[in-house]
Amino acid sequence: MASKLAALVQEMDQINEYDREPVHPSGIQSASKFAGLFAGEHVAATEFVIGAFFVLHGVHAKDLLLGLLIGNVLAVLSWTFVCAPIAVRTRLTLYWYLRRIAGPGLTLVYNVANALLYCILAGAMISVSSTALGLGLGIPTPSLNDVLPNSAGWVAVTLLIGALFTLLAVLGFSALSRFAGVCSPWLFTVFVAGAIGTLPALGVHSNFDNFWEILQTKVWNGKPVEGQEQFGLWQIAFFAWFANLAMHIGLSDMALFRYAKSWSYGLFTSTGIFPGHYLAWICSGLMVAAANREMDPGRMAYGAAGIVGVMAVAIAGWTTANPTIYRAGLALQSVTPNWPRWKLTLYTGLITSVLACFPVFFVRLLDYVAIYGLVLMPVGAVVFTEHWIFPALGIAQYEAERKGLVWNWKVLVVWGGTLAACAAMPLHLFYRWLPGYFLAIALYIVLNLGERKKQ
Amino acid sequence: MILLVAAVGSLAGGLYAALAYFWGTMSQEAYRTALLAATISWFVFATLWAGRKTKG
Repeated sequence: MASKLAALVQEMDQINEYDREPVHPSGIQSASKFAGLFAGEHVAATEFVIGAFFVLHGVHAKDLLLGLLIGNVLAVLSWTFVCAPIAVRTRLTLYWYLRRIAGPGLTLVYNVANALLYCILAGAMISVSSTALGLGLGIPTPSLNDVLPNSAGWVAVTLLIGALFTLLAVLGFSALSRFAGVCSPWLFTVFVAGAIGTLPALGVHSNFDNFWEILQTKVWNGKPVEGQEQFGLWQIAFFAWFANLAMHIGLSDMALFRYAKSWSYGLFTSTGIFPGHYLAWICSGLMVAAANREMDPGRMAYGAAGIVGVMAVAIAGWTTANPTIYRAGLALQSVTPNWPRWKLTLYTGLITSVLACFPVFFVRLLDYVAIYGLVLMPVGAVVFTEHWIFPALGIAQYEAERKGLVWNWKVLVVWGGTLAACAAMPLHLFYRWLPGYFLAIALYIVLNLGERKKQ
Repeated sequence: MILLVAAVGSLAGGLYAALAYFWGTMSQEAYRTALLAATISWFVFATLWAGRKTKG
């Protein structure tokens, strides 16, 4: 068992070998590169669903606009003041930094957990694309309460699209990445054009004199559709904040910010966040309102922009599922020694395609995004504490590295304990991560008080 | 540079078509066709531009 774990750890280290050393000063990237990198980052297939769900959850127009503003500002500040400073000081990926803190065994567990969460997210993106193809073939989109596939046709279309995405991911990740870069500005344009194209159907006058009234009465009118709970300002704000929790508070984006000249480059995330998680969500809200408030991304995009809308849904799913499948494969490579990359991508894609057949991940996307961030959040709290708070309290850092531990049981206790506490909290799911974060920090400090250096 | 201008112009044309439909100076059918034309034009010019950038 021990030798097998050692072999897995060695394999995982080899995969990440390239990133083992801190970024050399010659590798530091310019501010304009960062601004460009983030600009196309947050216009994905899921944007068609998330913005639409806010309408179905009966948000008021003012709460939406203010909530998104608050949440997105908090997200940008989290990148800037939590993630980027640690990345700039260490110049390491989360993988290698966590390895020093938690030990290689626990880092491996983190990688696998991350991979499984990525698979589900990619599955949701495949489901969104399936609604586009299903529209042309007359296959009904699953309803908001569906957990299992609703028809053989849905399964067939989803597996077909999943297989196609997987095949393309196997054939060439880098070429598709370049294609995704070309798609981003076009996708954003389709969101905006589609939203404008729905305005006549919503009854907005061409001089905009009734625009606000229409938004309040026909789009974000405060009336949830049957079976959906009503969202208010703080649910929207917290959702916008934690939509990328794993990346900022969870510190995954250390991989990017280790190339930044200054921690202030975290502010450049706003070039992607505001177009994607503000404007695109508003646009998809307008589209679903014009489509009789029915959650069917393919149909609502067709109504808003014709065949181009359907193309946008299909391509957005493709370009965003592809890197997600790739990342999941990369993370899983650590537990599949000697497998070539293509084989791993193939199996990851097939697992993802099967998951995509279950509409629960797509119709409960908001809850899934919350859970995804929540699961990885305690690890971010541990790294934050280790980096900033331990030196201030005189606690010795990097216990796993110092003692040669494979598993730092304190990190495991904090991770598991925090998730158990979050599960039991009498709070809305969207709010639980925040007290959970502070709980994780406090628990990790208490468990490490014995490591205080003698003065 | 010309390729970049043509690519960005394509997207601007698509947005203009949506606005023209909203203002009532273009039919829905014409708007959708114009958006499709803008899409094709974008992918042609942007891909050529990106290819030049990569080679350069």
